[in-house]
Amino acid sequence: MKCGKDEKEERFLSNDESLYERLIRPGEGRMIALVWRILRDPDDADDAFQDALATVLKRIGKISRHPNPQALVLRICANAAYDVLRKKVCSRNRQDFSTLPDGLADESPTPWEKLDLQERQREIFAAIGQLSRNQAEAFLLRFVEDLPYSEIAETLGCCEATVRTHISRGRAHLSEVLSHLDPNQGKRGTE
Amino acid sequence: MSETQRTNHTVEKTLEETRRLRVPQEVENRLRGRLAGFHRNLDEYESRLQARRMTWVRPRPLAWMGGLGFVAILAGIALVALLPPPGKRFYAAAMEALKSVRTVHMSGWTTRIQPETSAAGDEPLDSNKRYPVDIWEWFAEDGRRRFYDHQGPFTVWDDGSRRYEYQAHHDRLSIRESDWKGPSYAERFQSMSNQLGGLTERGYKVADLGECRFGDRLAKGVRAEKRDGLRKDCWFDAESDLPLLLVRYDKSNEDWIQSWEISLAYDGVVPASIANYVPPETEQVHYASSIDPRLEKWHRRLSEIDAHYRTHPLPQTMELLPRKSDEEIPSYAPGSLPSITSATGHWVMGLQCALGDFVRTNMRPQGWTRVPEDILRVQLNHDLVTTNEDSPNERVEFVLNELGFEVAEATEERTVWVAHYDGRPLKDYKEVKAPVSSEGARATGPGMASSWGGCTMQYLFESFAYWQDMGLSARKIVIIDETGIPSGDPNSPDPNTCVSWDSPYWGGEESIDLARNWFQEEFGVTFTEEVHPMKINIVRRKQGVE
Repeated sequence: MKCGKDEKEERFLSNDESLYERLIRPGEGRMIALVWRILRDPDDADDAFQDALATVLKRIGKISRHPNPQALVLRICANAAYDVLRKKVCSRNRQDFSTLPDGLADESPTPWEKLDLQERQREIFAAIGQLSRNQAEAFLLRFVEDLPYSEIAETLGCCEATVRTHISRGRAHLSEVLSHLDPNQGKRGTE
Repeated sequence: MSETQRTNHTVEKTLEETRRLRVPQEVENRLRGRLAGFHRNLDEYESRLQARRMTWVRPRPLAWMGGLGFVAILAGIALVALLPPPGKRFYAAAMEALKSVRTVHMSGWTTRIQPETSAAGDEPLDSNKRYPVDIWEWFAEDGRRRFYDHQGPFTVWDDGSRRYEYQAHHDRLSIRESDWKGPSYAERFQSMSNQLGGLTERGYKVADLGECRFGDRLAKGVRAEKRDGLRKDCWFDAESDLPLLLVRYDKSNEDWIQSWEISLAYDGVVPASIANYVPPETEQVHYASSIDPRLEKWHRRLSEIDAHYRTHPLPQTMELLPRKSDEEIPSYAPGSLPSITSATGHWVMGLQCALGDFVRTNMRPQGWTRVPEDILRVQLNHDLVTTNEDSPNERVEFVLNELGFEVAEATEERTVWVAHYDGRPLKDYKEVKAPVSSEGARATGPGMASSWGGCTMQYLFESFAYWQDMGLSARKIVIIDETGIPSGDPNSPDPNTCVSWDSPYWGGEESIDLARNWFQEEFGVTFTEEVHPMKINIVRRKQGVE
């Protein structure tokens, strides 16, 4: 009789496709995009991505048995990006943090609006770096990756109500520290 | 709207904006490099595991006895302590049984309808009323999941690519991307795992309900109850382990009130009206932020082509499909066919433009093809099904051939610029910008950036010929590259061979001197004008074709 671990190994080795093809290949683009959208700095994105891949390798058994392995991999990526974000917020390295993206979609009508958006994004991500890990993960997966609540719950291993609570608490914190972004409080210098 | 709500709205909208950020090519390459290394490591890890499975070391006799004793103790503990609770057991058995099922049908009633989308001012439905439920979930021939869920006035339809929710009482349609995330997600049925969720989630007390007969089927029941007043009774077929009946109760003033009852059937034939369901057309359509409404017509056209190839063979090379209607279908990028592209590599180019525009943007090299005026203006209203194996020139020749045209070669005296390089060190390509700033300009003018992101010298020369010969006369200036500056593969630009960040617009006579100066100042590239007999391509009607 096989012991539990062997049985698990058997299950995730028995597939004809390699682990990479099954678990990573379908989500490659989303992993890269998620890390980039959160960090928008090539070196930071590279660091976070390496950390994420190291974690994926360490937990590959668990990932392969997860009902939604790709979402779990995305969570690991969001988590690694959050760690880098948090380090930055702690060190107040604003210079690095404000590295501007090359990739902003060119639909933004004016350079001022573009700059305003970049500035807002910088502030918001800095504030997300101050949230608790669970709140930040739920927030990033919901609003940056657009995952439905049910999938986030599955990924975080909790129920949907808990995800909604994380997001609601995260919202409350962000609205407190970002109240100056309220559009009715006057637009930033466009002159 | 309160200040907090306004701030939250700004935060969420701003985060949504980040979804439009494109990953710069350099970063993409760098991270893909990491993925390649990771791929190797993972493959090695997997081979090590495989090898371990095949190796068995014979233990020594004493170790045998000790080992047996230890295993016996562990087995005892496992039997007593590690036996999974009944809820998880039923859930796992049901999920396993569902793997061999292709279609699930759920029918019954509910008093609790949870819409997937809502708008401000929507009133909740009367919870004292029972609403009929009709849910179908199955895997179609293309391997994708279909999901139809009709509850009272709500109808959700997921075609494996888009998920629609039509709310009849509001005459409102919401569209978002499908929940289906590929084959691994397909191992279980979404409707089922949602309904049985309570059996495995924390916070539920699970009790055995014993056995009961439903018609000729013997069923085993289990009850999951939550402290905050929710109870689910789930009955499973004793033979197949598949769920047969799900009943839900909600607590109200210490009384349990039944709020739904769903019966389940498997592998039935999906009615044609459901299999071919199309959400009704309505004026109130809401799109998820990840969907660009401008591209929805293109998305639908791709689905039509995908369906077309379910009854027609795929082409050996390419196929030009005429469109039945003249309706404008903007397609900003080539489209993939949901059930075909990943298997065969076929994808679709939407061609709703003048033939001249299609030839100009695809035929290489630029500036060497002549298309007579009357042929330039031929209107295309087609879709070209092609693969990456086909080159742009092959695509042009195929389309021309299908429309009764051909490309003939001719030799003519032409004025060409021969490009020479003075050998100076080239700047970092990211610092080389177009000579004229486009800031504040209402339209792109000579010398302003027309595209950007890294260009090779060859690309810049081609681009010059392209803008100069917009009329496809094959009589304008073309450049012969004798600079010796490497340009690499034009189809996959490499930062090492890029010489400029911008590619300027060089339209009209007034661009010529501007271009000469820019090439000289930025790269030390000068041109000598020469006249040579050169071969050009002439598009003409095929002999004997009207």
